[in-house]
Amino acid sequence: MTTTTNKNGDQGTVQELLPHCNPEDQRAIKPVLEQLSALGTGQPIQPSPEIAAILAAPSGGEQQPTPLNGLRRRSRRTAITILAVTVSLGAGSTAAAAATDEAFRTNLGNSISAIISTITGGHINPAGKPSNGHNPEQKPQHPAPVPGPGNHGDGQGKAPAGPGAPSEPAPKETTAGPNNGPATGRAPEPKTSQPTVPGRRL
Amino acid sequence: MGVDEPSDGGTFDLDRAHPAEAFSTLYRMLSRPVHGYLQARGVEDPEGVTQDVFLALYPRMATLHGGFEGAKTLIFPIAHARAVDHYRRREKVPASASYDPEADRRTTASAYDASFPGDGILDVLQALPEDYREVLRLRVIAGLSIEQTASIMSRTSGAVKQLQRRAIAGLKEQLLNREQGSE
Repeated sequence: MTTTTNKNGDQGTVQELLPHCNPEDQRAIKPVLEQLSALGTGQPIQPSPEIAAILAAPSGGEQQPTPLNGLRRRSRRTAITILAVTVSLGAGSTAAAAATDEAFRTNLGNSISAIISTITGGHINPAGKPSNGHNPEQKPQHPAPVPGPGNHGDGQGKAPAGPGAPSEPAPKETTAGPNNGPATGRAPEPKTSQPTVPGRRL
Repeated sequence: MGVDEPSDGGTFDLDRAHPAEAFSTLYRMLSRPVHGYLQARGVEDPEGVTQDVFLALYPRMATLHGGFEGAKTLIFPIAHARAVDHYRRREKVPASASYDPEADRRTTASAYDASFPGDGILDVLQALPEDYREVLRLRVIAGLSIEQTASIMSRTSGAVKQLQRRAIAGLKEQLLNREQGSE
């Protein structure tokens, strides 16, 4: 079916409507209908950037526009906003409870310290006291290198092990005793986490 | 159906064309009628809504059939729905009116009188009942057939013909009233 477009102002439609009027009315009505028809004529509307992108690639395989993208973006933004508000309210209520309740602060501090102690292997405890009667400072992190008979240290008193335990790991090394080497003859420093024998690895 | 006569005088088969190419042709041929239809419906931003209508059309281009007439049957219901959405939104939001100082030709008249002269074709149309206005918009501005108009308005073809006759009579009456009012 071949059709005419509005380029001609839809004169066909106007002519189709006019026979319903008598000739005198036609003279009055025709200009009005032509004005009305002229609203649908003229140059194409200036395309928006999205439309222009489609028009610029008439036969290409450009990705189809998805008008719902904006809606999806809005939905995602709304979800993020709701999440942020929820987290903020939770943090705010926690802060309010901490500000008003001394027991809450204490419990919270203990809980956090317990968690940190668990993570760090018991180096920190809630009250800052040694736990279980064991001084963690006396437990070295790494087994100290023990110079053996063929091991040539630097000769600066870094070989603490007594002759009875040449290959023992470090835990025994910090214990003050008569078998300690000359450099470890003093009591271990309480605030250091370093092994008492900082021997250089060879 | 299927072979149409585009505005450049050549022939173009919308059904066989690449969707993007068919879209380009339809935009060139129908963007202005869609704009005029939306303008006659009083949509505040007819250009923007026209773009929305064509963006909604583009994903459906692969399913387009029926050539140019089929495309019109697809596009104008979208435009109709967008116009209805516009009025629903406007019920919740106060209507705004633009004012362009460059276009203000008044010397002593009020800004309202200069911005809304009240003697245009849209004002004549506005005085008619909504059914009459819609049938004139779809038939005269959009250039739809009786059957296409009936489909969009959810009426029978006979009802559309009847509405059309009454709309013309109402238009004539409005013109007479304006002539008498100006005398």
